[in-house]
Parts: sequence; C-alpha cells; structure tokens
Amino acid sequence: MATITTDTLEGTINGTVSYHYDVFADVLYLRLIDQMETPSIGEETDDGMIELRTEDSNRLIGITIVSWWKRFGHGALPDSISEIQKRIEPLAQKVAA
Amino acid sequence: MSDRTLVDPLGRQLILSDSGWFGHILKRHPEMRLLRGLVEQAVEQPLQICFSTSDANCRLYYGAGPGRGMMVVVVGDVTAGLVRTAYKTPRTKGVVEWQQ
Repeated sequence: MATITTDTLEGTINGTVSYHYDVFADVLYLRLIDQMETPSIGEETDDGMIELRTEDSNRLIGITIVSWWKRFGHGALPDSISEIQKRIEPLAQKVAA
Repeated sequence: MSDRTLVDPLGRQLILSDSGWFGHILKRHPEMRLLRGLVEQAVEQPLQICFSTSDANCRLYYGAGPGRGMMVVVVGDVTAGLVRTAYKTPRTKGVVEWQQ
C-alpha cells in the first residue's frame, strides 16, 4: 500500500491573501497576492509573528508564523481542509487590513 | 545542493533541507533567492543568537547579509534540529543567547 504524505497546504483567502502551510516545519506563510514577488524585510514581533514589509514604504505585505498549529491549533491537524482554512482566516485579516 | 547539517557555535545541529529551502522558504520569501550560502553561514558563524518569541525551542540566528545594513535571520528549532524559515532584516531583536 502506498504511503502518502501531505507536506504543503496552499490556497487563497478572499482573493487577496495567499497562504502556504509547511506541514512538516509547522510554519504558516501569509502574503498579499499582488505582492508575492515584492522584496521584503522581516521582523519578529513581541507576540512571535514575523511581519514582512516592503523595503521602500514599510508596508505590511505578509506574515510568517512559526509553530502555527502548535500555538493556534488544538490537538492533531484536522482532516478537514475547511477546518484549517477557518483557523487561517483571522490571521489573514492582519495582512489584508 | 543537498540537505545540509549545520552546527552552531554552541554545538547544536540544524538541518537545512532542500525541500524546506526550495519548497517553502524560497517560495514564500523569494528575496532569499541566492542567499542560501549566507543562511548556512548565519547558523554556523552567526553575529548573534537570540531567543525567538514564536517558540521556546526556536532561536534567531542573525548573520551577515547581502549588503550594508541588512542581515539574514534564520529561525532554527534547536530541539527538533531543523531550520524552520529564514528572512532578511535590518536589525536584531530579542533576548541574546550568544554573541560573537
């Protein structure tokens, strides 16, 4: 029997924010869709998020969250993708705001 | 390129995997393209290591960056022995664990 491992979950939220979840490393990447290739610089906040901002205008274009499920999830990662999306959505609001 | 085992100044090993680098870090932090060497150096010869506020097991390895006023930061899980992510930053932040 084949062993299937999912190591990435990826999608969009409201057509404005793209998410990419590294399952193995438990890192959630959020980024504005129209800023995917924009060079950014990061800084870790006091609450443990990495805010990504443009170098020229300091505009917030993304957030990277290390240990996302460990910190914001409950129990094992759910089987349902919609369940996972529900947990991602509030964090996506921070980028889209 | 292949998976690399990096050893920090405190003797801790962190693996930077190809799948992690190409499959995740570069996909979502494209500005890190061409900076893999600096990322590895940041772990092995950091300027400073700080505790991360994201996870008690994680450290921020600050290393020389691609230009003046810019550093590379590697988020390393010293318990799992894994590089979690990396990005560029103009300044260090956090409680210092080790300094050059």
